[in-house]
Amino acid sequence: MKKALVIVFAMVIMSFSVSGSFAQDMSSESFRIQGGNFNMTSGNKASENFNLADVVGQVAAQIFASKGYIINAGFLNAAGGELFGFSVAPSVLDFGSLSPNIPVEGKLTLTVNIGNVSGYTVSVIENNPLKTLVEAQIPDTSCNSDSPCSPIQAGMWTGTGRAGFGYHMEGKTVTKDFKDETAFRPFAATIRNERPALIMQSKAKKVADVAHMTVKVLIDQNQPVGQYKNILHFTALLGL
Amino acid sequence: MKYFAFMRVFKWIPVLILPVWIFFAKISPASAQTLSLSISPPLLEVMIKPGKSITQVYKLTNNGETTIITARIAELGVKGIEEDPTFQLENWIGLVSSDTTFGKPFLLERGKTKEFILKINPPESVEEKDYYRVLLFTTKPNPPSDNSQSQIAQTLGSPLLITTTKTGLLNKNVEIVTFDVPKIIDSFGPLQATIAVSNTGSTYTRPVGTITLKGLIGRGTFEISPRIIMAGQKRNLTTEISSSNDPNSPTIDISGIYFGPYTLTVDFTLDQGTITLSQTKKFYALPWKLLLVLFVIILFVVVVRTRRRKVSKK
Repeated sequence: MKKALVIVFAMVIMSFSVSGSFAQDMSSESFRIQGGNFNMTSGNKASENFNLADVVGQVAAQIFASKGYIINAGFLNAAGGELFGFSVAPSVLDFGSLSPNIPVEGKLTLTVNIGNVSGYTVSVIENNPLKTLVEAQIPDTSCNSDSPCSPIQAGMWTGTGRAGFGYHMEGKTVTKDFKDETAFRPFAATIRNERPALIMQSKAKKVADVAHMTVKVLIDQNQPVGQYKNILHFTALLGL
Repeated sequence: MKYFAFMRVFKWIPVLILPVWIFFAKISPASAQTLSLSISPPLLEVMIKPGKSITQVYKLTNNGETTIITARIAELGVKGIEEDPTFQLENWIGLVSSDTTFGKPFLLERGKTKEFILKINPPESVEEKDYYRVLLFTTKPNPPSDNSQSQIAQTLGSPLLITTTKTGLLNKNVEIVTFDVPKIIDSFGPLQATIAVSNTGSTYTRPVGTITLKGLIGRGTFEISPRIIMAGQKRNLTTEISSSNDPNSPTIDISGIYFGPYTLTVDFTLDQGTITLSQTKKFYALPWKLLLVLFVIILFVVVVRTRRRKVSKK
């Protein structure tokens, strides 16, 4: 009896740890509803007698003529019930107390989850360089003098001689200029009217891609004491 | 006796601890400091007559920490989101909701899903053309602490491609503006070819078709990625064997051994319609690098032998 009670208790506890699942689709014999839309078909089907893509094209024209609209009129309604997700962890990068000539690094993990739709892009921009309330700034890095960098082109940034703020990316879908662990870029900045810089991109479907960003801060002995802050803004968009 | 009683109880402790540990291990500390949003659908394409109205339900799920989010619509260009301060959203695109409007922050708790109903109802007088917009959900950074730090904000976007047309007859037109294949390639490859198209019509379209390689050695057919080409946009075609994830990389990048004459044919339709484009290029593969090395070696040997003969005659 005791054994049975313990086992039951264990099963109850474990059952609460199982995540719920969320239905995305409702279906019956006659139709399949995805994401609040009524979809006629998905995927490309063919038989001996006809190519269903052509039939759908004709049907779509008939629907437009009678109803006046077609939703997901593009490529066979492929995006209808799909999910696109993006994560950034952690939600704040704390650099602690900054000391001259001692680089401080923080790490972010970026994750993209995409369904049966092709590709995505991820870009990043800062609102302004790290600065205090009295407008003292840590400049964005320009990398080593023999390997200059820009918001769209990484360069080598090594040693402790050049103060600045920049980032490095690692992952299979990051842009190709991050060739090794010494390749850094400064952030593009809204305050300079720059466009967000592309950091991840893919044309693959049904993937969960992970990339790691290393953010580095290095100050010199002339840097005023203070709490330096800014906002890093990541944008994920379906690749068209 | 007390010892045995204790052991009878003690042996069940791991059985009790294990599920409790599993339960609490599921609560990852990362999820409490993670910004994580997902959206469905990730893309909306609408072809609509002026005067008609449609709605689309969006589902936004917060898989990370509880956060404040703002929804808005921005203009979408060939380079991505256009942050034009003069941009004004058309008044016929809006949210049907009593508690959420564009620009008004709302709280979305961890694990929750919020539905938005987007309404599109262009008036009869609307200009007939494509409207490229993007629905954006942006998180608000956490309040700053007393350290030097970078706060993180995240935006997740779902493009809206809206075509307003009274007749449904769309001016679709695409031209192949670049078809770069070397006339002669080395037999030991790789074969790289770039094919770029320009949308000269008035509406967006997708290329649906294949690129076929035929030759003495080797033959292959590669599906063109049906990526959207906006009106006025020029872009490289990409395939399953484009060299990287970069959409600007060469269309074809195949390592291998080649010899003799080849043809490379691009053949596609615009969407699932009847407008077809096709073009073929010829090229030749020769082991010219190997031949060059052999020639240099032979030349070197001949020169050395000739000099030796002269020396020996003297």
